[in-house]
Amino acid sequence: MSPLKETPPQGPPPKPFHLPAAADFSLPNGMRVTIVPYGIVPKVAVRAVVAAGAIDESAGQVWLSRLTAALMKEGTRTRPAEQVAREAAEMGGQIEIDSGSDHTSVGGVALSDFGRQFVALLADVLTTPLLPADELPRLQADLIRELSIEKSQPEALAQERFVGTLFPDHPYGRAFPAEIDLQGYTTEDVRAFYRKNFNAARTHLYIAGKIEGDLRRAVEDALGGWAKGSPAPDLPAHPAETRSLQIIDRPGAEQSNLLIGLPVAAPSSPDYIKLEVMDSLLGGSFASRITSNIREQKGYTYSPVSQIGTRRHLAYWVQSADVTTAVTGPSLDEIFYEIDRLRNEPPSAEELQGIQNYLSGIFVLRNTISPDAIIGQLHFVDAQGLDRSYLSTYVRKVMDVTPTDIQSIAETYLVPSKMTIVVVGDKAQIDDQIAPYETQ
Amino acid sequence: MPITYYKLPNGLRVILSPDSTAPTVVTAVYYRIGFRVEPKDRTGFAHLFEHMMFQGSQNLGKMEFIRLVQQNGGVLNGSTRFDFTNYFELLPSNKLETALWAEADRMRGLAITDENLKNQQDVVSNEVKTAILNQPYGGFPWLWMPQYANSNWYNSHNFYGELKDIEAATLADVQAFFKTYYSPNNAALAIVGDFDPGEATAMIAKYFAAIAPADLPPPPDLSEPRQEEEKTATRPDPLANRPALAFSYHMPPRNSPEYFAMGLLDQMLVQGDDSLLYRELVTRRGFAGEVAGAIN
Amino acid sequence: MFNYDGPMLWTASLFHDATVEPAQILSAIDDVIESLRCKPVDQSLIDRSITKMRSSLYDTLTQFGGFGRADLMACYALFDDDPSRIDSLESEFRKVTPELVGRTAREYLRNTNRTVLLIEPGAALPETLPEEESV
Repeated sequence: MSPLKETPPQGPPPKPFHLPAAADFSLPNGMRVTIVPYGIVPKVAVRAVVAAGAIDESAGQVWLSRLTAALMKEGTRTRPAEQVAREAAEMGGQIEIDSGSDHTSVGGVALSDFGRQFVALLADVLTTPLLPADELPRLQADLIRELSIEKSQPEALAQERFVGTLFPDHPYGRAFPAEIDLQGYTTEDVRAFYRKNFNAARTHLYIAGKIEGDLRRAVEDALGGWAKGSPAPDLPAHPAETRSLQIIDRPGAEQSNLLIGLPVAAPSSPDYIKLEVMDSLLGGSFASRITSNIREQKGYTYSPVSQIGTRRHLAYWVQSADVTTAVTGPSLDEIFYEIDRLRNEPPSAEELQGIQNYLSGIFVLRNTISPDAIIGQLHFVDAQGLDRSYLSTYVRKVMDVTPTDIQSIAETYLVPSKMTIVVVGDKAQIDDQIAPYETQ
Repeated sequence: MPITYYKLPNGLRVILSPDSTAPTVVTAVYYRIGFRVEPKDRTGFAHLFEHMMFQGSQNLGKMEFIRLVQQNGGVLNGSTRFDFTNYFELLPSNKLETALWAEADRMRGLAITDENLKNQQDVVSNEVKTAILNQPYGGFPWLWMPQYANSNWYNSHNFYGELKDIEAATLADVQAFFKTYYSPNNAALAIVGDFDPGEATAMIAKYFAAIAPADLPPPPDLSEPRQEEEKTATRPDPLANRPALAFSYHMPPRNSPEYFAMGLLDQMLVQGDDSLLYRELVTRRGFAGEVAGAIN
Repeated sequence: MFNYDGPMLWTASLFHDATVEPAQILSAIDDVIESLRCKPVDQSLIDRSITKMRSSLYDTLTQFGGFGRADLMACYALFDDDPSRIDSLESEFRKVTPELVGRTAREYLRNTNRTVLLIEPGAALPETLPEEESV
């Protein structure tokens, strides 16, 4: 008879957690500003998040937002590019410009000693970029090279097909440009894109970390004079909810890259937090149903994961997995088996409790682990039009979810007949395996 | 920030560094064995072994360690590196004792089956495929460069492992590796975050003091001869559609004045948009969109 | 650079187009490296590097809820029996002089200490791929 196992010690009750306090204000030109003093490490994150990105591109302008972001780094009206880089480095940081689907972020993390100077440097880059014609050909060549490399990566091919299917006829669905379009963008295209989409009304500046000096004053001085401009236009997407199976052939591939998903409720929906809890239980955490099945029981894959992706006022659920080619069909079978199981039967209270504790713990980490993490949380809430109380009530709402809620949410939202399935793999090896999914 | 450092009688090195900024605590266990010193017919073994550390110990079945951390509101990971393998969790601060109990449980011994091993061999094979075999530039440059730049086998073999070597590993290999290297006198335990050092010291004694040390084998010779000629290697990549170039220099001895100078040379040459190689190769010549660089 | 105890490499890498020969790239790299080997480095460049390093050390030490700190302390305990070394890193960098940088570059950034790895692409460029299909 084997010895009885010890149970792990539980430890004392948890310490209370309070969200770091955020101070919000607006400049007369409509720019919103949020300052969050946090931590003792002498660094401060300063990020100007502009509601401008891929969503502002017409069908023939894919990646123009990326080209704009790249050209914005090539100097201002008063500082050559090399000087911007050197000054930022002397402050212990860099000016980074990242463009995404809905937003472009301009900023970086500097030593707190230089907070005010960093704000001034950022303002110069953001509001008076030079956008020089001389640098355009080099930046275009860089983007063409990036495009070429992305197209050789199976996960990127899967992602492109997935969003393309989910968001037809919308910028969210256009992941790759045609190379010929990219070649054709002019400096005037970039300048027009910048003028139209970058202004104070569309910008929210976030500052978090150890705050030294009067940063509010620095912000008002550096950014108060920027033109207000018009707010971001609304371009709602109407994501597809029809079943489809998409195959991209990659002869000789060692693995098949799978993406399975569909639109779900937006972050503003009362169902959204329940969706997050359901997602974590089904595939979003390491001990989740799908991961336990296809990785830890069957060894089909290394890093399967599900998550809820968001865009402006919408969300989609997606499970991804890179699986050994020979078990492509069985992997799909197991994923759909777990989806069906959860739709038909509530989880046990114990299983749900474990996930709820996990999400509560992650919430604390997301709000303490770094200034950029704190900014990320606030930006999510603000960009989705949620009230800040979303954050202060999040843990309670997670804890209020019941096992029946989980089943009901899965049943309502994870409808297999509405799912997009993308498979990138060796068609000759997998055709027979996935045939059953073609007819459903 | 205050640091407390001591050793248990069994050799375990303990480092405590409290910081109450956030109500969280990191518990990290480091074993002084990485992928340099793995058996020569078992490339990738140290990394496969790291996976096995999550597969079961006396009081925790397969996956139960992971579930325990997650259900207590934490996140965890482990990694196999050149000179150590680490296991760490970040938990709410009231769960420190839970973490210590669990780490001691697996430091004491593994309870694993052939089925667990076979399963993780499949998982690791998939990991190698996802990261390397099914990916353009998969091992470039971090995995492939040491194989060309170094000449001592310990520094120049395939650390991720040839699939056949991964598949050849046996349960006996796993038990032998554990017995040789996973002992308290070959390990360090570091705790950082919101905790009381006095309470932690008592818990550490309670859970770790009785674990017996092992006789450690003498470390092998890891030295690299001084390189006397420039080396150039060309490697075809059937999955890549653009050429790539990497170059490496052997580092000075650790902790020497030249080593610190190289740290600053790394900053000057390749870290940030102000760096010399970025300005020259990217902005002036347009040869590339960025230059990556690191010491590893 | 801190959590290793054995022979290591300083490595840099980039992706380029087929229209640029590796020899051209290496020639440009040689020019930059030679400038560090044959004339003394400006103190302002060293100062800026120290600022970047200091900033990077703060990031490393606070990474992931304090894991970065635990990582370095555990390594210094195992390798040097002295975890408090993490507190003296910045001062070690501040000791670096232009003369030391030059001496280090001459010895360690010499071509005979270098390995170059070239990746030859074997896949077709995307424009030449057949039409992707869907069902």
